[in-house]
Amino acid sequence: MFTHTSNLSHRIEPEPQPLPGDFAIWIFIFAELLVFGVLFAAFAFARSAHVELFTASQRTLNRTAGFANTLLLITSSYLVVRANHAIKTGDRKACWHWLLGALSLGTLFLLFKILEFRQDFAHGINLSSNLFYMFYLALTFFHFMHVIMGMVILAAVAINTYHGRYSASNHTGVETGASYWHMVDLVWIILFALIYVIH
Amino acid sequence: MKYKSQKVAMPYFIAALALFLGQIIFGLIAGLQYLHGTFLFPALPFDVAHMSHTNLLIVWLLMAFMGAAYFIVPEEAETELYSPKLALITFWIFLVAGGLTIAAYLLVPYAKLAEVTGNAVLPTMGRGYLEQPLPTKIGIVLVALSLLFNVTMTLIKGRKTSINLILVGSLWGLAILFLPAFYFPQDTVKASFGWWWIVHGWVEGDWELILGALLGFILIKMTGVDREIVEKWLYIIVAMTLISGIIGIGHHYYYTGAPGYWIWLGSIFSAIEPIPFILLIAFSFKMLLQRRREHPNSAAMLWALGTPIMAFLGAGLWGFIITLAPAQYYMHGTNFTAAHGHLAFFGAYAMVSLAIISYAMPILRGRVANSNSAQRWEIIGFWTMVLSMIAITLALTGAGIVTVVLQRAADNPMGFMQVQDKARVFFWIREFAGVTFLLGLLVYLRSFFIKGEYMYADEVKRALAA
Amino acid sequence: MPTEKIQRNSTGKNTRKNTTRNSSIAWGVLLGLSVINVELGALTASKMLMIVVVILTLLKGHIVVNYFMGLRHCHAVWRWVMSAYLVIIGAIIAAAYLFF
Repeated sequence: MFTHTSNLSHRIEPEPQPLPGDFAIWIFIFAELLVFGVLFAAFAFARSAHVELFTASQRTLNRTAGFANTLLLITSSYLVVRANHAIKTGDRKACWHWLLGALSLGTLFLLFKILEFRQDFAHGINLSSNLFYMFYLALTFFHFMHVIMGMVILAAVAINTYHGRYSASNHTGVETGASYWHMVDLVWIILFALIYVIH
Repeated sequence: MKYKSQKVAMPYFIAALALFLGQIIFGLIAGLQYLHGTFLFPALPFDVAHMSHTNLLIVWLLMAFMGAAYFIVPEEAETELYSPKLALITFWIFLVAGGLTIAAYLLVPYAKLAEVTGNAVLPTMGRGYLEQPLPTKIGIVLVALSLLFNVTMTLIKGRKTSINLILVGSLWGLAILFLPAFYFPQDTVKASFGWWWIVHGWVEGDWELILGALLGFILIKMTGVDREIVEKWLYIIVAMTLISGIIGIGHHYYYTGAPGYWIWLGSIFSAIEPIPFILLIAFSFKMLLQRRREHPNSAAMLWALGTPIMAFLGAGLWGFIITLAPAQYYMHGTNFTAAHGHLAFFGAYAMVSLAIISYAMPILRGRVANSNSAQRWEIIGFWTMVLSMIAITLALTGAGIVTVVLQRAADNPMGFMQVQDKARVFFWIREFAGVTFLLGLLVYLRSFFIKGEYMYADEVKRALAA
Repeated sequence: MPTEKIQRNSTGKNTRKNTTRNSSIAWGVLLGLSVINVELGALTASKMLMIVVVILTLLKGHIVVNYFMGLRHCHAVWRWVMSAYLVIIGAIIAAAYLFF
């Protein structure tokens, strides 16, 4: 699909490609982005009516844990990108290893988040504590569930990779799982900034 | 009819339509009692007319869904139904139990009915739509299990398509979601909380999936569009339904004593609930435009296209009006809810049931489609019912506005009965529209008795002459 | 292991190695921006600071969309959809913080 020319005076643009992976996952991705987007907007507007409450409550959050999770997800996403590149060249073994790496980091994310939740509950924070904590818990829990979902998909892809079901010419499954995982990463990037950082 | 066992759908469909007629008669009685409170009192008081109206609705829709399952699952699975005999026995049990229940409502004072049917052992009576005595409720579970066993065994031995997977899966969901009917705590907050798992879980979740499967089946058969395209649409619709509807249940929890975070979660997620209905409209019209054939059953096509539109109006639009917490603060439990409920139930579930009946009945009777004159009656029935229901909805919306203005949002609110009095004109309009609805239903039912099948030869002659 | 297929773009550059290198750079940039965002967030609040953090976050999102999801190779319409999403979310958040 990329054309090769040695005559540099005549540039041929590479043909634009369809969205990576199965198109159905992209409908799902857009739907999820829509829902999270509405939640983010609701958070922003709820905050505008309770600025002091939100600022004070935000300060009690474990920003280090959140930051660590951000680095974990970004790196995990990167590993998935590398997995995709590997299978595009037919290197199933490398793909499998990159995916394992991504899943490990995802598991660490879940672990850190669980520890953070435990700390929150130990301090008596729950959905009814105040409006900020309601959003914080609901949003991060909701995202948490999507991390699990993404990992289930990646695990299925990893198993398929291990059993040699993908190849350089047929790896839609990898791209599909990768796309969903990047969405999970993207949502966290916005969520972290909005809930933990911006004030 | 591809498989002989599909025939068991017929008694279910016939019973469904008969119970539908019963539902409307009780509806007219109840509607008249809004205007003359002592009409038929004490023989048939309002509460009995009301619960007969609502219970008959649920039972006829369940009959229709079951008939649809017995018609669709064998055809999709490409194998005969596991046990037609079981389906028929189940039908009679369901019909007789349902009939006895309505008779009990009419003939036995409710408290006495509770006493003699063992409500003290496990209290389940007294909540809306769940007025049935304990034995009836157990009967419903057994009937559901029988259906599930039958269609699941058929599915296991046959071809698994998206349509029959979604249909059978959501029938399992329907049965499981009925179980909270047996959970009736003393605490009214908790009781209300659990009640919605059934009601919301059904009509704003599980039943939408049934609707999608039924509509998908009808459109594949009638338009000849590629199955894979239909399946992709259905998956998206199913996904959006669940994404919006599961936490969307919170829009019933704002002002019923549940924790305050539901105001946010319910508003945000239920605001998304209209999307699957928009997708259903897009889907069905896209199928129409991409059709590869002109199916002779125009009436069924009309039902199939009218359903998503009316469903969107009733469930999506009217639902959205009352769903956001700040708006619901004023409109909760007013006739806005009744308006939404009527248009949504009819537009989505009654109409999809009538659509599958419209498609399947001629086939069950041995022809591709009914004669032109039968279809004409059916189509007149369609339009009369649809327009009447829109009128009912607008009338109830008017009554709702009166309540909000005079009672909810007013600085000096008027009392409830006073406000009901002010809304009388709207209740009259509603009743009048209810009568025309009944006429439409009778015209529709008449269409089944007009003889003759679709005459291809006549159509060709007419086309050539033109 | 099958031989690596060399894909070249219109200027003759080896795009396979290119893409891997690009995504590695993207990863590095994302990590860097994350650090910057957190450091800025630790500073005292100000409207300007808030806008900067929002913009940097949108930039991070943009990098994920284009280099991780790979949308820069796709039809322009998808890039527009995702960019619109990021911009709208960013604008709503900024508006809520600035004007209310």
